Amino acid sequence: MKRTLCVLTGTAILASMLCGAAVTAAAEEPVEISFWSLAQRKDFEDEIIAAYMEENPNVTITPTYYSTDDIKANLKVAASSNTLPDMWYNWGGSLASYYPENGLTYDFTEYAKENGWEEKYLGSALELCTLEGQLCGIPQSIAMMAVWYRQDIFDQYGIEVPKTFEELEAACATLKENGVTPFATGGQFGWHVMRYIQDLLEYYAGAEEHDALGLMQSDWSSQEAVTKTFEKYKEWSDKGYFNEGFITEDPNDCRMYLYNGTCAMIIDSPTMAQQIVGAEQDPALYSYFAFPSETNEDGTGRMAAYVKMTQVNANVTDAQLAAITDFWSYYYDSERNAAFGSIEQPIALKGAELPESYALAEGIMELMDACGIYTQTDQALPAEVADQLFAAQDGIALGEIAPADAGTTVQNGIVTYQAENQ
Amino acid sequence: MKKKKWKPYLFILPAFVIFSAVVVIPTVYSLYLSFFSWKGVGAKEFVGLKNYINLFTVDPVFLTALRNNLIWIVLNVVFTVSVSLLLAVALSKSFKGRVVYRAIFYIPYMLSLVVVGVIWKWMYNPNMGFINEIFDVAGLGGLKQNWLSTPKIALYCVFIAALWQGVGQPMVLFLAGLQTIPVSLTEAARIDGAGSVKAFFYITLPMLKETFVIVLATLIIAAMKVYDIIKVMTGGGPINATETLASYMYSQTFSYSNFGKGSAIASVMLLMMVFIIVPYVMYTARDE
Repeated sequence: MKRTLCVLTGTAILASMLCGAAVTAAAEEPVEISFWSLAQRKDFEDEIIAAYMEENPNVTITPTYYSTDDIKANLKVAASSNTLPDMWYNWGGSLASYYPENGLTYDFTEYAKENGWEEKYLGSALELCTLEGQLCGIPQSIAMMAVWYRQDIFDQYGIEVPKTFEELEAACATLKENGVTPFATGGQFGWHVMRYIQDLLEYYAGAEEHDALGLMQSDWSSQEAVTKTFEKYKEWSDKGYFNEGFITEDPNDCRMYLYNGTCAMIIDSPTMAQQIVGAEQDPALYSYFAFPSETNEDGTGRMAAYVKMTQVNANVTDAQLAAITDFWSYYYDSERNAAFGSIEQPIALKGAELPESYALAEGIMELMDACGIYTQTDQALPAEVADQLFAAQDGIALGEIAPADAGTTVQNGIVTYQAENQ
Repeated sequence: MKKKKWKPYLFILPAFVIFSAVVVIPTVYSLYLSFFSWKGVGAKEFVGLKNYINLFTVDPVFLTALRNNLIWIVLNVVFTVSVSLLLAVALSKSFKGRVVYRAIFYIPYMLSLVVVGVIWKWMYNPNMGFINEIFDVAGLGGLKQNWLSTPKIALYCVFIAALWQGVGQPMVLFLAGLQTIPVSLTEAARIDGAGSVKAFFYITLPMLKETFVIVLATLIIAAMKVYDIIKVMTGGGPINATETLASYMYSQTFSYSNFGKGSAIASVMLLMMVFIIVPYVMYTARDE
């Protein structure tokens, strides 16, 4: 009996040792991951990747960095030639949906359930990463649009932070009377001016109708709210509520008008906080509020938002997937990642605090939770339809398109898109 | 005898393989794709000439882009050639500081078009740009414009920036061409009573025929491919007023994933270049 017990115990120990060795071997199995990211993230991502690989010598991550336009183009080329990397940076909406639509990305839906992502990530971020019915990426950061303003200019002219759309218009009128242009914007690529259009649309159409327009389920050419939106935009443009020559102004350059006091407000994401500090401006002069589009009962409006994510190749192995998810856990761990202060903010994790460089944006996550979000228009609409909207914006401001006809311009784009993509 | 026959082909084989791999095959494949509707992945649907028909019949942006490219070709041929030739003639004369002036006019050509675009975009800025400021200082405030935001003038404003950058290279080619003209020819013409203008038109210009072939061919090709300076300065706007075939091809292919339509635009560009340049080169080379 004693002998049998000894044999069983010995066998168990041997088996557990063998299993342990097997697990260790599996853990140390060399894993190679190719990663495409943005050039502006190179400095800190090189550092993070090097530190992670030092901690995990069996993992080799090879990053390649591209400019904004190049990464979009190169991903399309790689998709068409079946040479996509193992993981890549992407935005949300129509830019990202191409990949799950064509079965090119790993669907994290089940993985998220098994690994408690609902407790880990912001619900809004998971929602924005869900495209074509698939959770098609690991959420990174979320950008929500607020109105950033010069507090000193508001104080100088006795302007209170607008709580209603009417108050916002009154503030604009006061600013213009005093020689200050209310809004800074740069229309070179269309999307910056679109931020004003989408908030006006949220105000005139309401949440439900606005969502239907974004999903192309509602006809842009026949909605009164669309016409009212473009009429108001034309009115603001004619009144000089936007900086001179805004149509072809670079979005990055237009912040300057806020810094030099030519303009008093700009619609921007929380990165504005970092921009203000980076431009050596006095942070005390700046603050933000939600655009008062009045779609919520308390008078606030939903905030336009978009997500940035990491999409993972549908063909990765289990070992690669494990390494990828572990790398991103490391990336967003403020205690383990020494370069955490440099990464894009606000990150999509629940309870995450903003680093010091984003102090000016403090409270914006709570504001977003209170206000709710809608998908930014150029990510809700396909690129070719969004470009029709941008052309309509230009045309209205320049008097080439009547506000009443702009909805038809967009709808024609939708009809063409749908015909080509049947 | 047989060995001798194959030897030249053997020598050109490496170049032929490389040229085929990076030019011929992609060009043929692009032409092939232009007959399909394809989103970049998945099955390709054969649509025949539909992409081409749609471009010319229902796509207003393509027609605007095509018109802009033709305007750019004309501007390049007229202004870039004239200005660079005048500069070359002026700088071929012997005077103090000639080398410095040559460098001044050539240096912009060494800058990337993206950098040039950024510089000129700031100069055109309606609020604090150099050009509007100059008008203000000169008391001509009424001439101030939203240079890049006005559809009727935006393309020409971008062209001026491109002209400033691009004039250096043809100038150098013309300078080299001018140096090959024997001085005795001009002197003989002068002795026969020809003035400077006559000598220029009857001696200098005909003697620069070969240089013109190179200059015009490169300028026309550059005009068909113009993209980066447009992208930086206007992004193709306002209301597509500065869109070109190259920028529209990029949008169709990489923004909209319409690989078939993008390939059709590329094929149109190629055919246009072939139809413009080949007859010109053949015509100018006929005497040789």
